[in-house]
Amino acid sequence: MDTSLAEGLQELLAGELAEVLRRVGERPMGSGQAGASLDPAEAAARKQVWQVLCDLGVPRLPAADLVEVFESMGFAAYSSPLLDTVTAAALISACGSDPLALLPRIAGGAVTVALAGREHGTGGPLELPPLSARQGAVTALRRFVPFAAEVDYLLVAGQGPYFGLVKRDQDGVKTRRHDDITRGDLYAVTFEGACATRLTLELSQYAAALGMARLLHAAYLVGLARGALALTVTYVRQRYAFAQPIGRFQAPAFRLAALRARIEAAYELVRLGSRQPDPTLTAVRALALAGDLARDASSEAVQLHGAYGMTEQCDAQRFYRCAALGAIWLGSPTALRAELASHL
Amino acid sequence: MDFVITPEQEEFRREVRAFLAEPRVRKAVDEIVRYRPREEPAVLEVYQWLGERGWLAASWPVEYGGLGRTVVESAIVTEEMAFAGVPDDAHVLSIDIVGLFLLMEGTEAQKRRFLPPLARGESIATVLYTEPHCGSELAALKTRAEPEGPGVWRLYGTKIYNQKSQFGDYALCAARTKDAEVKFHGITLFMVPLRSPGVTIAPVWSMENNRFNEVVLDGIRLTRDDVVGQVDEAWGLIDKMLLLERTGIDFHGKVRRWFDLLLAHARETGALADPVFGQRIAELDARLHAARALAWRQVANLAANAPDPVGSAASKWYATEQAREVVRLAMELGGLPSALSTWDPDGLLGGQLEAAYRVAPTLTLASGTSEIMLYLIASTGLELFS
Repeated sequence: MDTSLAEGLQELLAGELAEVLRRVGERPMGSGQAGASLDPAEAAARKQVWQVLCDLGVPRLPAADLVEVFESMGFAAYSSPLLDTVTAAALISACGSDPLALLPRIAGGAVTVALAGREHGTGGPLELPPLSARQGAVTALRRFVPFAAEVDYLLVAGQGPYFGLVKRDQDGVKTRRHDDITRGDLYAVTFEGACATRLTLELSQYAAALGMARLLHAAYLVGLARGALALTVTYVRQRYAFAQPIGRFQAPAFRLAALRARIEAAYELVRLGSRQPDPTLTAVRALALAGDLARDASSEAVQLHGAYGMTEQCDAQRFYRCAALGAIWLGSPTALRAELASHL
Repeated sequence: MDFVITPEQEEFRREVRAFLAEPRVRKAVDEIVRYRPREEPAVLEVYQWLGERGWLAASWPVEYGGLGRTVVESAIVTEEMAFAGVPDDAHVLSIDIVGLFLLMEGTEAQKRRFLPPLARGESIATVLYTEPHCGSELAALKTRAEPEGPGVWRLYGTKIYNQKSQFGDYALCAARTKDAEVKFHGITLFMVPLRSPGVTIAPVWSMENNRFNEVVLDGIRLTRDDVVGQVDEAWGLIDKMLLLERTGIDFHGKVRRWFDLLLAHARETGALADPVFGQRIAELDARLHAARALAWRQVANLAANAPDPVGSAASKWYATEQAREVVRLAMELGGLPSALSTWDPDGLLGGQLEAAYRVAPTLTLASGTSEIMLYLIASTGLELFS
């Protein structure tokens, strides 16, 4: 990785800003249907962070560098439209034509895209739901679309397969923010005759893009685990019980040490995948491990912080809630293990 | 020791279960599930309906509002409430902890004053042990009861992470009454009136639906009549009562309810027949049956007046450690809709799985953390540190 990029990421996502970024975009509990819009100051902060990432050239980075970026974003529990945007760019590249000339604008950070490929959110990510596409107009319901209220384009996917780029800011697109466990930016999107530009893609090309998305998401979850571990290690060094820092008790210390080893191993697997021409299978392995790892590390964070770890003031619970969704986002660890077994 | 529930106790369980299945109870429980954010149950009508029958504190003598039955009947009520999804926090605090303390160690005047309203479900009593700097190490508490004269104290300190105090009338509060070289000495328990000048209760918001409280005690006046047990000698009492509180019945009941939600969902979707998920569901089912058996063994020990410290620690640890796996599996089975809350119309099972996921960590923290339970087993049970 380029030194200036590494330093930029370090400054943005691993320094003091990381604590602020963890909370950016988090709404109050239960605000799914009311008060869903982001506080203007937070919205501005989020835009600034995105701009810094773009200035660092992140949207056009190769896979080997992107995994480092995603790991750093996970460390800060920072969520953004980056995963879907780079996945959309991969899909546009794969189809061989760029009818809306989006690729240069994505690379420059001027355009963001969200994938809209789930209707119920219960099947595998390759199980595309039905939609109606007639004369360039799409009608469909899609749920669990990240950042749908602020991205520039939605890449709607459906049976056929059908893939279409829909400009978000048009009458035929309506969004409703979900109230999910992260209290973040997931939306239900209703397309009602929305103007769409079709992309000609095979399902196998979608699967390949998904494979890379899984690898990047695995990197994010490894980072999330590392962030939760770092938070906990700091706490157990300073929290005293029975006349010593609780980190000096072997039982918790060894549990944290085991997490450290698991993080290292999972991350090396992610890095290995990022250097492979086809990382699909490695991504399945890595994501299965990383999903469990993020949940374990964040659960341990809450446990070792005690009741304080449950409180809104403590980021342990933030990691815990992010890991809950992250671990099932592109296939749950159990489903991924079953998928892997079918390839062995 | 064999433990057999009598036919009368089985019949009692059937009656409790039938009552908890009545439409008015189901309606009340459904309303709680749909509460708005930051709204939480206080004094529940369900408690009062149970109280009318003497069931809320079934093991207490009739004169204090109970049925004069045994700890078995008490455990049956606690378990059935958990299975039925009736919030039990206020019940556990008021009846199983504070009420039991008073019943066993309170003066006759204290029993007559405090127990009947608790047994009727009209009043809530909470526990003030934990402080900002001490949780598991309770003996390090800093709250002080300063003597003001013979048998009179002024209470100063801050208690945190207690629940339901905002609805409580009284709280059982541990405070230091004497400095001692051995820190376990010099601690006294008081019944503190929560709705009085000198007590400030502020919310500490948590990721789960119910809030914690910070209770600041600023010079509230207490007398000998407010002391529970002996002055300066609460430590042994707290130790003993924690043992009685920790059967694992309530914890198992909560986890089993979450498991039953996921089981019903897995049956409906066909996931139960899929070996990938079926094996894990079966494993958890077996563990929860073991957890229940272990919890009932502790009840049997209490019924025989032979509580087992190691067994109760094992029971609490074993039951609560299943929670993590149950809520994770529930979320894997339910997919993304299971990550949606009560306040999203697309939330699976009305958002109950999402709520369970957020509250699950409290089980391995409350009433003695998993680490403390393992320490008890290792030190007392295995004698590894002697």
